[in-house]
Formats: sequence, structure tokens, C-alpha cells
Amino acid sequence: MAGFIGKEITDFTVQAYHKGTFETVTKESVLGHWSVFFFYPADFTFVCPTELGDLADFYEEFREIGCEIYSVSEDTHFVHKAWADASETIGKIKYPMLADPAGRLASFFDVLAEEEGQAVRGTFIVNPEGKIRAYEIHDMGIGRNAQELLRKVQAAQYVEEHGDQVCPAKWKPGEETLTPSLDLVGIL
Amino acid sequence: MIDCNQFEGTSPLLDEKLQGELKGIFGKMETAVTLKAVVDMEEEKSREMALFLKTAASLSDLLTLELYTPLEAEALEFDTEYLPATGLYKDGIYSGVSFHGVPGGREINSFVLAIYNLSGPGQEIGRGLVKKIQKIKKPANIKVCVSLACHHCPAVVAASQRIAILNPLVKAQMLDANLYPALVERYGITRVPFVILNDETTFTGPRTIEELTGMLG
Repeated sequence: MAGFIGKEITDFTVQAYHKGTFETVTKESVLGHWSVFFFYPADFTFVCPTELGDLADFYEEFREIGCEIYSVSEDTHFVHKAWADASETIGKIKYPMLADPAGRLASFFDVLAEEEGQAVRGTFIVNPEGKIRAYEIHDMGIGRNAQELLRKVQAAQYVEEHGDQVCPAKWKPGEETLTPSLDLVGIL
Repeated sequence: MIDCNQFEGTSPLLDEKLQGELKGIFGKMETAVTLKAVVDMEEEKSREMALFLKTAASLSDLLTLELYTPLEAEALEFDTEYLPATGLYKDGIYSGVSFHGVPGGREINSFVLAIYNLSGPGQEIGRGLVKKIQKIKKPANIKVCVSLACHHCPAVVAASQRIAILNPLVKAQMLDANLYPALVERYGITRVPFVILNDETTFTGPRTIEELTGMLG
């Protein structure tokens, strides 16, 4: 498998801020269901609340398909709480906000910008067995889209169940006919 | 019938290089094949299909094109609910193979294979499998819903159409589902290839010609 695809997540133990309380999240916590690890640079910044708020808006849909969201930054769980208390957007978040101040999770997922001590915008879709099935990493200024992420989780779940012998049917009415691609080598 | 000569020029989907490749393949044809297409001249996709077929047919003396209006479609043996539709004929007899939508993208491959297999020499196929296909006793209809970008689809289309060519009781249709949203909605199609067997049973994903044969009575 190339890159992170198929890699099993490392053992970890971190603190999290979740719906008003602090809790411990470990590797065992995330096994048995689909998970999204959503890294972002820092609390109390500008692009991040937009992304996290976008995720919060789609959270119920992720839950309906058996997927938990774990946002992760290098801030402590105390800072997460302070941010949630100070920001209406962050305050509405119902998914666990993981704290990774030691940088272990970010290092494992190779999204740690060591000089800044922050994580870049990396998103990792992990299956119930703890294996990474899809990921994307964006530069700092490029925000992500929760609806697109939801589609990817659904696609990953479909492939997990049905194998990779199918193609998604993303049709757009009025689309131009695709240029023919002839490939009959070895068939005729 | 519609006069094919009203379509000037060649299809932009078939550039010179591709035309050259198709000419080479069609040069192996053994018997004449007629493409009978039902097109609605008010619709862009139909006009595109007509020009595509005209260009393809120009690449071989053994390929002929006949264009029909929807009103004339009743006289034809293939399904004309999903337009534009093209049925393949040999010696004036419908082969059981039809394409619904322009066979662009990856489906150019199944289009070429259908012509090659109908006209001869055809792809190699084991005698045992030919006998099994010819022993199919119940009429069957195989609709393969595709996306033109899907690389898994042409093999299923070609396999189902080869069965249709070998057994007159079987009809095999390629449908570019992008053109038929009502069909997509009726069957809840989200992945392709999506196969509809006798308008009842459905399944997704590739199947070999052996597997498809085994599903038919």
C-alpha cells in the first residue's frame, strides 16, 4: 500500500474536551467504528473555526453512518475548553476535541510542522480495525469541506463492504460525453 | 429514415488518431454489420450519437448506418425507451446488442468489441462456454448501467453482449445512466457497473462472461 493507506494507527492516549467535560481517548476508544482524525493548526485562529463549525454542522450525518469525528490540535484540552467557552461556533461542537501537545499523534500521522509546533490540515479516515483508508493534507491556508469528507467516508465504507471493483456514479445531467479511451491491447 | 448526409464533418469524439486505430480493428471484420439508431433530432445527445455513428461507419465498407426517428422506432426490435439507442444487426437480423447513449469514454471498447464479435472473427471463446450460452432456454434481458469513465464497466457490457450475440433469447443493453435519471432513481444507482437482470434482479460490480452465463436460465 502507498503512503498511509492501510497503515494501522499507533497506540496513543490523549486527553480530550468533549461536550463540556474532559475525557481520555485511546486507540481502543476509536476501534470498532469508523473515525475521522481531523488535524488543524491551533485554537483561537481564523480558518479553523470555519472548518470545525462545518464539521459540526454535518456531525449528525457522520454519526448516522457510524463514524466519529476527532478533531486534533497541539493545544491542551484546557485550551479547547476555553475556546469552546469563548466561541459560539466552537461551543456547538459535539465531537471529541483531542489534545496532542506532545505532538505524538501529529508525528505519527506526519502532519506536525515542528518549527511552528502546530499540525498542518490533515484529515485521516480510519476504518473500524484502525487502518487508514483515505487521507488528505492541505497547506495551512487551504480549508477543507465537511460535505466532501462525508462523501469520502461513505465511499470508503462502500469499498470496505463491496470491494474496489466498482466506480462511483457521479453523474451530472448535461455533462459532455467523455472522449473515447480505446484500450484493447491483449483483448483482440 | 433520416438522411445521414445532413450530418457534416466528423465526430469530435473520434480524432484522426482514433479513427486510424478503429480502421485497423474494423479492417478485421468478416461480415457486414448494420447500426440502426433511433435518434431524436431535437436532442443534442441524439445528434451527437448520429455524427459519432456516421463517423464510425465511414471507417469500414462493412459498417452501415441507418437513422430512424422515434416515430419509426416501433418497427425496430430493440428497446427504444432510452434514447439515443443503437441496435446492431447482421444479415438483417437484430443481434440482441444495443447501446443507449453515445459509447464514448471507456465504452468505446465495448462498442468496438460488439462489432468485432458480431461481424467476426470475434474474441476467442471456449467451445464449452459457447455451448453453455447456446443452451440458455429462457429469454433474458441484461441492462448494464455504466459511467463512461468507469474502467470496470466495459468488460461487463462486452460479456453480456457476447452472450446476446451467441444466443438470440438474450438481449444486452449498455445504458449511459447519466442520460436516464429516472432509471437511476428507480434503482437507486450509486455505483457502476450496475446490472439489471430481467428488470428484476440487480447487482453491482464486474462479472465474467462465465458468471453471467450461470445466472441465466
